[in-house]
Amino acid sequence: MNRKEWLEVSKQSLYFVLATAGMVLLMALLNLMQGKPQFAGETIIIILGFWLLMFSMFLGLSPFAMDSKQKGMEYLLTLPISRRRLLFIKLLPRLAIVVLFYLAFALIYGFMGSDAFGGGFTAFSLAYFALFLISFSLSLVHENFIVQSIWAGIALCGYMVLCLFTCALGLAWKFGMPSSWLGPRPWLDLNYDVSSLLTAIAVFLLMAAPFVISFFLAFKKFDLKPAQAFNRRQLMLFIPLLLLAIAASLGVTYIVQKSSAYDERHYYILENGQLLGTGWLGKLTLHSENRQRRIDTKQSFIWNWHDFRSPGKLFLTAYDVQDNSMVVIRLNLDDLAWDTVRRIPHNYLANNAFSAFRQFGQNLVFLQRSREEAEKAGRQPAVPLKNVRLDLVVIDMKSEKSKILSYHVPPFPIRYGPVIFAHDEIDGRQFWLVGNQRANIIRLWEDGQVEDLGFSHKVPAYFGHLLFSHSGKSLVIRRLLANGSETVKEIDGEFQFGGFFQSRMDNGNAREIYGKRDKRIVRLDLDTLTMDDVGPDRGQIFFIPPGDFFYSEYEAWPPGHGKPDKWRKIYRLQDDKMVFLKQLNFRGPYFGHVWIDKSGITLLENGRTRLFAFPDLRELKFKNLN
Amino acid sequence: MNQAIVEIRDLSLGFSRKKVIDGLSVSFAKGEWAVIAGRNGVGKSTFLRCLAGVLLPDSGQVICSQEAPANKTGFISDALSLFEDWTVERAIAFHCRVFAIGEFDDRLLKRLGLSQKDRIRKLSAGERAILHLSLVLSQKPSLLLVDEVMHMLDPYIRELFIETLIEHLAASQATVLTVNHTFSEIEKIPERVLVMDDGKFVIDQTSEALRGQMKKVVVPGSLPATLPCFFSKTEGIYKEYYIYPFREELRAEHALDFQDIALAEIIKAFIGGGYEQKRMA
Repeated sequence: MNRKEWLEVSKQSLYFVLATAGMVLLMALLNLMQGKPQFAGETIIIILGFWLLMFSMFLGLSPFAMDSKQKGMEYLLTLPISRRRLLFIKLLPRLAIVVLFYLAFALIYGFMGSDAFGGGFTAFSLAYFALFLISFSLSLVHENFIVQSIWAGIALCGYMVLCLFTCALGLAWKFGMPSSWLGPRPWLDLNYDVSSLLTAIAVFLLMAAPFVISFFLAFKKFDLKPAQAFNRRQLMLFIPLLLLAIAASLGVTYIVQKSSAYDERHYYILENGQLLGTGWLGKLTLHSENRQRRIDTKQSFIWNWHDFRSPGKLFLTAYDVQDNSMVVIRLNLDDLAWDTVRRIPHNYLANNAFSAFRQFGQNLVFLQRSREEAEKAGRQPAVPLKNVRLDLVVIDMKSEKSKILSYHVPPFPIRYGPVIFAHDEIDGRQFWLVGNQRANIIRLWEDGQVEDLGFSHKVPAYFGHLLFSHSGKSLVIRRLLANGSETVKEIDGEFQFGGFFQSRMDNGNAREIYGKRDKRIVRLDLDTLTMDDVGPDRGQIFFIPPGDFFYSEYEAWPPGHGKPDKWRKIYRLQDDKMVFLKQLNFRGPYFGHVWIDKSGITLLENGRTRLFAFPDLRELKFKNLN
Repeated sequence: MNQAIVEIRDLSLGFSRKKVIDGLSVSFAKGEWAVIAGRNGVGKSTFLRCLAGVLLPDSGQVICSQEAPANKTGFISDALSLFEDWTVERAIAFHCRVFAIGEFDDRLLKRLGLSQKDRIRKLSAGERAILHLSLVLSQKPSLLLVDEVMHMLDPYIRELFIETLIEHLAASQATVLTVNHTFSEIEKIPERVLVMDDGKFVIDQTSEALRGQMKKVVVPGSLPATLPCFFSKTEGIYKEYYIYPFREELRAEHALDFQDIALAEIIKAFIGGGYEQKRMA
């Protein structure tokens, strides 16, 4: 009996290998025909991954399909083999092949250094094994193999949703945050967060268990009755087991998941040597060397990145989950008293909450829609779909007074709403630039004039009084005039630079910018507009307004295919050079998060936070930081 | 009676909401040949499948003695289920391996001229039945369950099939349970007859006793109401009455010709009576 199963599974595996090889060859041939002799590793990985998922489902569903198809089911049940043994005989060769193929795929994946699944190899692995186990437990759900496959697909979707839902619910329960805000996040950080990985594996096993256990228990009484009888028996076992699994998953998430990974904590190093930590929900912690003061606003605030500092006080922005609005908070650093300076309903914002606010100098600026537009039933806080009125609101954070400038702007694409990305002035007249990728760049003058500066395929930027847009083939550099603009240079090819997503817009006086081009780091001199090579791209560039650039070099590059870093090297990019600043060693085997802002470097390492302050990058020690 | 080789206690089984076997209790002795008869769909094959372990009861027990473990129970179903893509040779090798059979007796196959290279799906029903029988007999079964397969066989294969069964029974003292609709060839073989109706055995008697208890009366008119008539049918100007249960005293009380009838006809009468009762109900 064992031999029969091994032979059957080996034959199926051979067909699968041949089909896969055929697919890869076909792709290679197509590539050659298109004049691309290089065959992308990622293409192979995607084909293999997809086929493997299909194959794991097929193997899971196949144990009795062949017996049934050959009309041998009755004969099979007359053999002197117990039901339990029969099931193990069916399971073992299939499980062995599933594991074997997985290991082979992992080897190929590692060898090709692929980033095909967006670094989600662990998530792929969990889905792969889940699909096999769920398919196996549904191998008797129907006599027809196609119907079985449909059921397996539905069950896998349900399983995934339940896994995400219980995980999010467990986190929400632990940290008191709305689970809708977590979404699939716990599954995205599997590669570098050990507690997330452990939680995911535990939840994956726990949630798969009801399928497998109910199948094994129901199979003890498997016979030739119609499939519905078996399904009914399995379902009666499955439902209570599922409830138990959900409860256990919630418990495991609560216990295993570390707070530091998901409590949305961010740190701001303050000039006076203090450290402000923002956390869920509406919580703040002010650390000094030996003291820690906690503030619980008791509001449903999700803190944003913006901060305006003035002596003795600090301004923060946050999203209030409770009433769906953005708030500007004033925090008094002496007595930690806080109050709300401004509250803007979310549907009034012209862009989503976290890219709505921008800063220049001591001003906070955002685009607001008219009451009529904002309060239209069903309208999401996103994009004006037609030529509508938009208000530019500028708040002076010193005086806390605001002014509103009204404009009629042309439509923006649905997916890419208007984002303010620059502020400057010409001849004493102030203007703001609004744009996004695949959208026109709009100049809003302070006197109410609106000027269309043309389309940009990629996100535009503004450095050193120059506008950078993309024509689709080349980078277009323009000098803005009092009326229109003049193109000063076009550079062919790709050039990726930051700036667009920075909340601060005080970069008008920058003299150089750094970005990535053809897997190299390059510098663009803003005086001569010449581009120089700086070095190979092995990391991430950070732009700190008004004109500082830093570079974090990764040990493993490209990131996200399961190979963990043990260090990151931090450089300052200046005058065409990479000046080494510091090496950050990770103690654990997982990825570390490095974040650089104007105060220093924050390193999140295995759930622990370490801070290094500019200018000398000495490590700051705070009591009870972790 | 010999020691029971299989005992069934309070067996019930249904499909969806329909109860096919309803609280059935019976036992079969070692070396006994019993035939199970009944209308279509009353649960005969289901009962055999329960004994074979292919169907599991909703309640009740099937207790096999130590002499009839799972590997000593042979089942030939009316579906003649085997892996159809396999060759005869592969099926034999597989069966021998699973049942730990040292030597396979292929004489029957040779008599039919069956090639070991033939695929099972290419075999005729008769050839498949003989292959099944060869496989099952090679287990040297103590309990042999044969569902209604004989009607599928041509006269030559049917005779071969029955002869082989008789030989095996004589040599091994196995218990044979067959489900049959056609009795002409096995008229004299079964020692016990069980008639099933609505999931229960309504008749369970030795063949001899049954022959003694059912007689036929053929008359042009009707019968006295005091006679226990189980079933009647019209044949031209005559009517045939099946008297059950018959007592010898009835011959003295009624001046009628009480005829002995064959087992096949007895069974037919029981089945016909069953249909009539169902119709009346």
